[in-house]
Amino acid sequence: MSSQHGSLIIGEVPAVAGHVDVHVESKEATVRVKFSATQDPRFFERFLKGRPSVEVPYVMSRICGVCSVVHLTCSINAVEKALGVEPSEEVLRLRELAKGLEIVQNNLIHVLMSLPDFTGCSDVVSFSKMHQSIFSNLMEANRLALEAHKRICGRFVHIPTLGVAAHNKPVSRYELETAGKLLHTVARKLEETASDLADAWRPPVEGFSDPAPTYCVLNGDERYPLFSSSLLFSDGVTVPVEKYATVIEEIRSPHSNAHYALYRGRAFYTGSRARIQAYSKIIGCEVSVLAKTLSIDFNNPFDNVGAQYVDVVYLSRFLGDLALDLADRFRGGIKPSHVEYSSGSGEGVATVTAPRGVLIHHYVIRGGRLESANIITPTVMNARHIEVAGEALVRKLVERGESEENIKNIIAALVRAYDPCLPCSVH
Amino acid sequence: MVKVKIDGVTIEVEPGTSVLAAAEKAGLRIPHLCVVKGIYEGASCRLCLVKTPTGRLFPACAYYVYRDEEFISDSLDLRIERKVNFEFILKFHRMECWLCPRKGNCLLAKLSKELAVEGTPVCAECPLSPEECLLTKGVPCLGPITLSGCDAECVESGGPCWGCRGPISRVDVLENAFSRYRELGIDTETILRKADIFWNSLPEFEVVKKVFNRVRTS
Repeated sequence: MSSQHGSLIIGEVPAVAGHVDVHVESKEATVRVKFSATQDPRFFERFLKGRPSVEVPYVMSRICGVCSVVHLTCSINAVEKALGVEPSEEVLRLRELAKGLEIVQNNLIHVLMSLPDFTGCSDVVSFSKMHQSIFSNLMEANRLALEAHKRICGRFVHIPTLGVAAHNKPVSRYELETAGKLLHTVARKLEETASDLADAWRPPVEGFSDPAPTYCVLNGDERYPLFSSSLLFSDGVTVPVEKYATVIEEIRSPHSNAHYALYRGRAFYTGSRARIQAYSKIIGCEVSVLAKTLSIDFNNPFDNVGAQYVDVVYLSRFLGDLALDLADRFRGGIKPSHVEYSSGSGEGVATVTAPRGVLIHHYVIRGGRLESANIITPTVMNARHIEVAGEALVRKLVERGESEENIKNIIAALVRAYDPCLPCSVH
Repeated sequence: MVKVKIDGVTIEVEPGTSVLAAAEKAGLRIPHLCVVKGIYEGASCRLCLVKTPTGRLFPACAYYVYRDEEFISDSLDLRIERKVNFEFILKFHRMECWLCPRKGNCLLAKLSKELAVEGTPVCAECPLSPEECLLTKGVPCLGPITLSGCDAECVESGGPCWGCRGPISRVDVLENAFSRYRELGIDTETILRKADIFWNSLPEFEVVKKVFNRVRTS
């Protein structure tokens, strides 16, 4: 910024889904970054009141077309918890597989979209011309992940395969085996590409350390948790998901249409960077090798994208094993199943791992109809953290004497590193 | 041999070949419905219309070439002609796709997609046979009253139709569909409530509700 007193309107952040404005104000020594979701609120929690509980998940999945399976599974889990329904084990595993597949494909797209920011190319097209083999490998991995997704879920978005206490699509052993093999190929392809990518891969700002290093992930002991019944924070606090409201507070933001989620009054982050740090014991050596190849600094918010790369490699292998294990156990394939239940009353909270972090759905159901709902999306959790990190970043950039144009681009890159898809914040 | 030029592609054929056969030989697709080679070549559907550069229209299946000639098989006015002709064909087709043995492989549904004529329900593209139909299992599926064109992706993935492509506006099809729902004991209130998710703000939804009320009181 040219002067020490003034404001810089970064305006609408380009290359993201949804609309978000960033506004930087500096006054003497204080810098204030305002992250405002300018999209109109969509009132999902309000207009679903009174709807039959069995229909709720299908409408809730429309919160985001990109992460539809994640919202669908989380919503189904919350309804099941509220009604006290227990689906069979294979249904749960298939649900895990469907959701994991979406995370793999989704994070891969995020990596592809971030290529211009991390390689200094002006856009993805010019990157594809300069680094043809890397780009084609990444695209091929994405195609294979989609192919595997189609085998298990039937279609790409708003899948009707999953339902409350049900799995509707028959999945044959051949399909499970193919999906498993495809996922292993994805992992192998990405691992091969990592060393080539590392040469071109530089975060927009190196050596920038996170000013608020508190994170939130799902709690898992021995297994990478795609579903969990408790939340884990970086200070070691474990909270059962039913009591999420005691630690996570949602506040109305004065300049944004989205809410902020704060952990005991503090900003916190969630996503692949948090996951890789929290599950480093579960994931094991793969992290250190790949992270070293890509020289990922887990303390740098920009390196969330690098962490997603590592996450995708681990998850593809994990889900590949899961699919092959299911194929082994159910040699005749998995038939559609449905558990009978009575649509009564109850309260249910569910959390799942979403591509960009932790997603919480909380429903109260009375007489088979939705009475109230509360949804906290990863974008809402990250919103305040983007502001805090942005403030530290602007200070650092001003110190370095960067031009206004550069500051604009770097702040936009910071928002994109957290989350390139923002409509879920105004659900 | 004579030279036929269709949409700029020149091809040599035996004298007496139909324009449709010549186009097929050249790898061009002209939409057609009634012609079955060697069995019926009566030119009654009039979907395969082609025109000469001077603007004269011919059915491609029944016009045989004996000299060098030029035809146009794709233009805006031809598309409009075909569309009108196809709308007439659909109008007189009894649409009870949920009971039809050709369900899932319906030429009318394919043509309606190709010619952008909205008329067939999702059932026409549904891969389930009439015996496996979700309605017979009591699942409230919106297939019979929803426009086709999606290749019944949801049903293929195991779930019922949610009506995202919008309602059919043909009253007779709606009447048949609601009678079918009633016959199978599916609560029509459930159907309308489900339809409300996607059709809430559509003016056509009012027509659906009216037809539903008429069927209920009859």
